[in-house]
Amino acid sequence: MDLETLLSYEWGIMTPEFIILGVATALSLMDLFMPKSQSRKILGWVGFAGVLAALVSLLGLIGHGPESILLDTFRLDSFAKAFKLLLLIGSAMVLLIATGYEPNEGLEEFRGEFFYLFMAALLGAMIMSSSGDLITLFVGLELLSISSYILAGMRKRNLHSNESAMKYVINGSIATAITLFGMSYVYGLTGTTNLKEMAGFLTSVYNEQHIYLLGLAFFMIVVGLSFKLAAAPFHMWAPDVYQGAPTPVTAFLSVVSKTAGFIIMIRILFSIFANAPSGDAQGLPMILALQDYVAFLAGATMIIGNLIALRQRNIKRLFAYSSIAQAGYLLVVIASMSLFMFDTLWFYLGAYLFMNLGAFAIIQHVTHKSGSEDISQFAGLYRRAPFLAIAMAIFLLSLAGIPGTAGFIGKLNIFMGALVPSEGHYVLVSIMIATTVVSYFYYFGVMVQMFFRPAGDTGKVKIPAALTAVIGISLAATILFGVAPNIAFDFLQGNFNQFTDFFQ
Amino acid sequence: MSLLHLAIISPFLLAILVPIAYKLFRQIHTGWFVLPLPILLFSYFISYLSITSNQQSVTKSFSWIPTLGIDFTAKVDGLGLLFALLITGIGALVVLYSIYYLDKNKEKLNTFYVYLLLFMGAMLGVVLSDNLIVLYTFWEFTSFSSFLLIGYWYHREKSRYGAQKSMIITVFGGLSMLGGIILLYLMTGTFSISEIIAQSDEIFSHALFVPALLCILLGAFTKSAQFPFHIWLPDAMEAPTPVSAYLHSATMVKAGIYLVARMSPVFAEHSLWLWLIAGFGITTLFWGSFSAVKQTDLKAILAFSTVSQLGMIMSLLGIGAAALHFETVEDSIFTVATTAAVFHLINHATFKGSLFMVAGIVDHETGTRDIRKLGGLMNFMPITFTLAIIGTFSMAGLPPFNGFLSKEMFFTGMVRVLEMDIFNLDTWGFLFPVLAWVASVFTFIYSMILVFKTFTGKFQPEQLEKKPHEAPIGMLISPIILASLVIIIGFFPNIISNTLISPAQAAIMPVEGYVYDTHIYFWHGFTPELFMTLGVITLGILLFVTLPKWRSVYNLFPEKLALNRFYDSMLEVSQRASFNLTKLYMNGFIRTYLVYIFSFFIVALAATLVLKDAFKFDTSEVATIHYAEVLLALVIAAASVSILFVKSRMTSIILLGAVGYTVSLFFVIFRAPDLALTQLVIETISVSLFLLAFYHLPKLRHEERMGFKMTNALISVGVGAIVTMIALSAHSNKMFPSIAKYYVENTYKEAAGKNMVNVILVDFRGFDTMFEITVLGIAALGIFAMIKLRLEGGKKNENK
Repeated sequence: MDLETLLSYEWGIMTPEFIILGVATALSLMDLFMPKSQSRKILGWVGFAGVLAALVSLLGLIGHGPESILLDTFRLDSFAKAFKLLLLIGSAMVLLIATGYEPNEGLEEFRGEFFYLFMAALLGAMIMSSSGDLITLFVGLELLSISSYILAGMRKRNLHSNESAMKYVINGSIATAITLFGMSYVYGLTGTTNLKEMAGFLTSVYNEQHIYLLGLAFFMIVVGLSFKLAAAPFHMWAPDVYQGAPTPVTAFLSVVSKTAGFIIMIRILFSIFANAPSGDAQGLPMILALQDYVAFLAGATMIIGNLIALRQRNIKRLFAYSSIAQAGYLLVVIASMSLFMFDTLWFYLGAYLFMNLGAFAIIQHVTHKSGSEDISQFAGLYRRAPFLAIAMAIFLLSLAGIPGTAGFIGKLNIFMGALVPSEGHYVLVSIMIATTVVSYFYYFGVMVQMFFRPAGDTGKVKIPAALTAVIGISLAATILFGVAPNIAFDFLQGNFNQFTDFFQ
Repeated sequence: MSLLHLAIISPFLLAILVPIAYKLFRQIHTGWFVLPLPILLFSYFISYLSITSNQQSVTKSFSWIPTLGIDFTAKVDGLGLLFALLITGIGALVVLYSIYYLDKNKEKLNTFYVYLLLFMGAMLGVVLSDNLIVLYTFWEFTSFSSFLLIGYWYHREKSRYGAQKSMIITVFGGLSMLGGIILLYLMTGTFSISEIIAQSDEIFSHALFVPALLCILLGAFTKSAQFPFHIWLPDAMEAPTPVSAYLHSATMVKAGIYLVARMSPVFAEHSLWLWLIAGFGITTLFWGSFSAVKQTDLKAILAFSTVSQLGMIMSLLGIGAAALHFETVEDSIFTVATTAAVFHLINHATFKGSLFMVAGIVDHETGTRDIRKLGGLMNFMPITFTLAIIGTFSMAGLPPFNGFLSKEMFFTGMVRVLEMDIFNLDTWGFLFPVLAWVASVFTFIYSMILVFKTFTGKFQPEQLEKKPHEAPIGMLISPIILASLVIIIGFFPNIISNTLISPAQAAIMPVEGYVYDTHIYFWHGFTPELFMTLGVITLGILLFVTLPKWRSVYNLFPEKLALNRFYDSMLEVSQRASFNLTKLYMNGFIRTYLVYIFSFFIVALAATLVLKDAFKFDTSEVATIHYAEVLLALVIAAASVSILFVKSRMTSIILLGAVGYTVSLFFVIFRAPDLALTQLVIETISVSLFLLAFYHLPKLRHEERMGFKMTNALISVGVGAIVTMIALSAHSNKMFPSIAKYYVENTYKEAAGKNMVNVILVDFRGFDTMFEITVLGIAALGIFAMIKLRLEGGKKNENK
């Protein structure tokens, strides 16, 4: 490749990534040269500013048509733009949460690392959302994963944190190995790592043996990627890691990292397998032939997440299982493969981002005050801090899918998407409804604590400004998208046109 | 957005202002700020009477979520208006009553009125929405505000229990209703009730019709406390009495009835609709009245009585649906059942509302609601006693009160079931009048218990917490208004017949171009219904007097079969199951998790291999195998296996190294010296790093080494076998020439490099390499952070 072609690429479409990369580098240098005694909080604000700048540059690119550079390894299509938007908004809010995080132990001296590792993880996620090549996708995934492993172990003198990082690394590497194994089969069959070329090549595969191998590859990729989503069968790490990791990291894992997981899943599954034949008589594409398999995972994930959450007393573990269950709902979207799959997924992930981050901001504040993560810390919150209690109640209602909140509209979309196709997924929807009822028990359990219990500690609580901002934004968005979801739908329709350029 | 929409959301708006008013004016009871709204709304809705009494309707719509076809369409027709008037009318009376019932100095009035206003707005939304999704939204709001109101006195354990129970049951029903709504959408392509009704003929034979019907009914039955879902209602009585009067007798529990009435035009032609609604209704009627007799708490009696009366209205709606089966609805003898349903709905709201308020007064003035402690209050509170007489006699179906009229019509409807020759009703149909009659006898008995055990008999001042006296006038106004309505409607039923009843009926059973005309008469002559009523009174008095003698009947019913038991044990079982599942499944050991993951891996892949017959082993393209290669393979195998059996860690590492070194020998044989060299270097580094790391770790004690575990052996063998098989079949499927050739040809030509591996790394896949370097950089940072810990660590460990 000569210089001329290199310069001919439209590098502008990578602006958000360059900004994040630059900020990450700058942060690590700043951390290096700053005196030891100085607070690293400023790094958080620099990072926050960087993410905002990336967000602005991304918004500037929204009108940009689909474009790909570097031999299709980097592509900017509607899908990439829409989901990067979620990643950046989520990250900005997590950074705000992190600046307000002042645990009793551990993190202070490693705060600098926290921020630039965080930026690196974000970069990985962004690369994943706009890659057209299997290897770049995988590298993005690894960048995100490895950063996350370290982030999870940030509270170094906390045994829980150590344990969580350990479990995360071991589980993660196995998952990665399986994914990679699956990917290598797709590569072996097609001889290319470019997603578009793969798809083109696979349309002409008719040898039964090859189709079976492709099916195996599909299984392995899905199994491996389910790790990032914290979905069955790779969900076991979630409770331990969520509990052990610092709360901002937990928030990051449950929202940004999960979103990234769905991004790579969609990218790979729908680019590669959407056009591959499944070998059955009707000429069904492979992805439709195997959708029962995804449906099975979705069902199992919803059941496991919701059932086990019933008994949790630790609020972070409770939210870990809740996030497993939520991943199950999101898998229903993928399993049902309706026409509006991308819109539904985007909307639910967006709603989930706000309601979960809002809840985590409150969790961090409440648990940090007392040092205990037991659910009883929420007792009488309504008496102590009515604003926090009402906000938390709305986030919980939204997670439970009660009307009037963004979570409900998201769930309604999922139901409709699952039932509208000619062969509706009735079983899956029934499971979803039944497990939703189960989820009421634990979501309302927290509400009962907040509203119907006397307060143990009567001291008024002062909330840091950054947390107030996160809670306020989340609250506004949760209600706004619940009451006027059309803002989001119009935005999607106006700018992304049903993601038709995904397959181009 | 029109004035009508504003009326629906005005309670929500006021709810935002209430806490402010509470803060600013602590001396004034917050209820006074709330009271004007329901009065205003009531008069606003009265103005719609002129439209609906012509059996017309008004529709105002604005687009809410056009993408999903959801418009906030508000529609006022006879049925909706009837409910709106009930909600605002009873609402105003309840707010007035609560001002005297709740002490402004002791209670948290701001939360109470916020919850109450939330409910009022939500309930108005339910009955005035034409869009099913909007209806569902408000429906869940009513459940939620009911949850908050039942738990209002949260310091009581029973309040919390009741709140949770009502929430779980009604929200479960709500969700299944949502399922039904979506099914309806799938059939018709719209969420609008009017449009669905317009298409009802076409969807009748659709495969999803019956599932949709069942889902919707489940929602209605849970909300309206129909057997066996009625168990939440008695526990909901922990709420303050004004709430019980408002939500749990007059309005919210009637939302299920509203839904059934509203959806009748869609479903009523199906025999299931009739059978289920009439069947569940009559069972609820019987079971509610039967259970009410054994209660000792005034509010519990009223709760079971509400359950039974709801069942009665429900069964009437079911029977009334039969009218839609015949060519002409106009002169069908079954329309009387629907008329009775609407009529009784109004009557029930009046007499039950006043009775709840009476029970509240008794509780407020004596400190107890237990009828075993009460008695002889007649002399202390004569006005309350009079009100109680009016309410209970109406409930028992005695003339001249309104309850008598609707009870007569109810009997008429049930007797006419005998003439029904559709849906096999000629076989089991006789049960309806029989059960109706028996239930009425029990209704009579508990009505008598309610009034006479409380107000007559022996006065027991030592049992009471306070010295009883008549209630303040403010508390009496509301029940007096309701009791007057009981009498006025009793004497002049026709003032509401064509203003409220007929329009509602027109909405339940719409017939093109037909105007319902209802007249309610006092005297029908010596009809079977009259004799049934006489029988009820005679047998009722007899049984009431002899109650102590046959009371033990209730002990015969085994406690274990009680539905509440079932609900509680269900909670317990699910908790225990979750606990056991957690203990068994999520036990925190990473090796257990690995077992799951690998088992899943083996099962999924092996199943595909076997089921699809995908295994293929093609030796045609395999190069000949030399003895040296066999030897090396054997060495690798032997080294790997012996790792399992050696005792010391050092030996295991060295054996692992041996495996790696042998692999590099393969590269030598395959004439790839540079690769062999790389492999050798990597192997050496990793072995020495391993040795270094283990040197610093504490020594393993002998007993810590794991013994032989069958599962682990199976899993490791399984993973190995599967991976080998897949690798073999992959190798046997070559689709294109290897990419190697491309690099050989192009390395120099395209990239002007002579070392092929280097060119691939820095040029062909340069972008990937860059990111890989980033990854390594991150890993290095991680290691750096760990080293920092090593240097500063050990200072303190917070877990110690």
